[in-house]
Amino acid sequence: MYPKNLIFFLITFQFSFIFGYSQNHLESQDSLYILRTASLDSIESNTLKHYSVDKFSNALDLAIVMSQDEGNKNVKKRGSNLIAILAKSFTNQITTKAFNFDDKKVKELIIRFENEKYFIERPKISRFIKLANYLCKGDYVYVHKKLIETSVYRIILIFIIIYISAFILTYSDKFNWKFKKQFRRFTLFSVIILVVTFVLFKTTCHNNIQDYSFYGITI
Amino acid sequence: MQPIAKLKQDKLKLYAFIIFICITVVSVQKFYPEDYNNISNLDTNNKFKIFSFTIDDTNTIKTAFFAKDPYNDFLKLNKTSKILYASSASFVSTLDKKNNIPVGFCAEKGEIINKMPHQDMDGIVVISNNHPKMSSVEIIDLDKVNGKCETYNCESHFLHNNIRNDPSLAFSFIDAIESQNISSFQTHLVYTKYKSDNENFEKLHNGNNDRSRRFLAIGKKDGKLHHIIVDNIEDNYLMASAKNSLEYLRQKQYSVDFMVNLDTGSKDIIHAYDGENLINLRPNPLTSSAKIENASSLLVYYTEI
Repeated sequence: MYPKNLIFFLITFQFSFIFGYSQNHLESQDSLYILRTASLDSIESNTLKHYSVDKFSNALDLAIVMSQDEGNKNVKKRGSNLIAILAKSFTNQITTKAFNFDDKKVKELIIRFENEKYFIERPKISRFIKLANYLCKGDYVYVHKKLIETSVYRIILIFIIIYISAFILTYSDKFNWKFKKQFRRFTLFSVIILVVTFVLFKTTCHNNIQDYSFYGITI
Repeated sequence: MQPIAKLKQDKLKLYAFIIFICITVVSVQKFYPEDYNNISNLDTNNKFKIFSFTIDDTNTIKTAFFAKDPYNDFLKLNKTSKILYASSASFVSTLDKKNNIPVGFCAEKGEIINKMPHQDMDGIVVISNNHPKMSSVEIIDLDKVNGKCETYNCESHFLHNNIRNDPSLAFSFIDAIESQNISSFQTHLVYTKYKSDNENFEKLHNGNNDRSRRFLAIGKKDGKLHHIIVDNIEDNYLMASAKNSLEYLRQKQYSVDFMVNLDTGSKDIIHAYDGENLINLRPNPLTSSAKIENASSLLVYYTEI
């Protein structure tokens, strides 16, 4: 009824599935057995180095169950210490960028660690986000203080002084040049854009600046 | 001018001068008490302010650390106690005030807020209020290898477990924190007696020189244990400021064992008792967050009324 090739293919698929499943299952069982029995030092220095995010997740499941074992203090102690070791190794993987911080599974695992009160170290918040946040809160003096420390501050200051000088000279008719009209229009246009942008920013910034995103753009 | 009239005028000038000097001395004494009941001692110059607390069982001086709901806990304490000093202490990780999580290990009165030690911070401050009259504040050097406990200190020895380098000791450490109602926070250890000055201040200019600095030091003066807060108001690098502060303390005859960094970033909060009232020493902060109402953590020294 069925073509011979198809039957052969189906049987091969079934075998490989069962074999693969049992292999993964065995590996998983093996890994969990190590977590239950091996020395914590060797787990930290050897076993966890090669763990994937999924394996970290499974290990955390086991460690949480062990840490809640009120009947056996040794198991409870081992479970608690295991969570601490997992948290440290997982942090290393994130800070060395072996795991992608933006990965959905990584983010889920971070939240699971946080539920156990292990707040995994996150990447540093960018200076731009911090300044935008202070600008949003109206801390202009602080933003100015921070800007003074940057290398571009002097360049911006020189540019502003030159521009204002040119603007005053142009408007007082002491400086006649070819692009006088265009310069005036451009200045007016720029000022309007700046004011509108600033008003828009101030009215919408509160919910749009997160630790690692600015208006939805990941930074 | 008649000689008598001249003499009268000179006398008047002299009286005015003496009155001016007296008013100046009285007002300065009022604002910066030289010695407040031998408990709080404030020393000040242009660059440094020192708040020094003598710790022994004759003074009922206590220490508290708030990180869960700092402002409300501060207000509650203020009703029942005389607060001598309060300032921002530990660092926080996020911009959002609602989700302010302390950076590094943190606990308040036995309740753990963050179990995750920060790998770049070398000091853990441990505050215990189990003595009826005085608080114990210890600074644990996380660069130091765990020592074995002696018979007299095994009960508190778990607190010297190095949970940053050896997470397999977490259970014992956390258990001790919870069972003994201890408060604790992690920060930068800027000076430890276990290293020479050259080792402590090897890298003076790491990071930014964009802010004033504040340190908590533990040391001795005249054979008595002191907790000293040094407020270095000039903008400087962390370690350069720590070195200057330590030198200033040594000039003042303090023998310092440990010194840690306190947060002076966007939430630079410091209030101190002037002999009559608790005064905000940063009345015009650069950021709107730097108000005690917005504090994410507070280190408080107080006496019970």
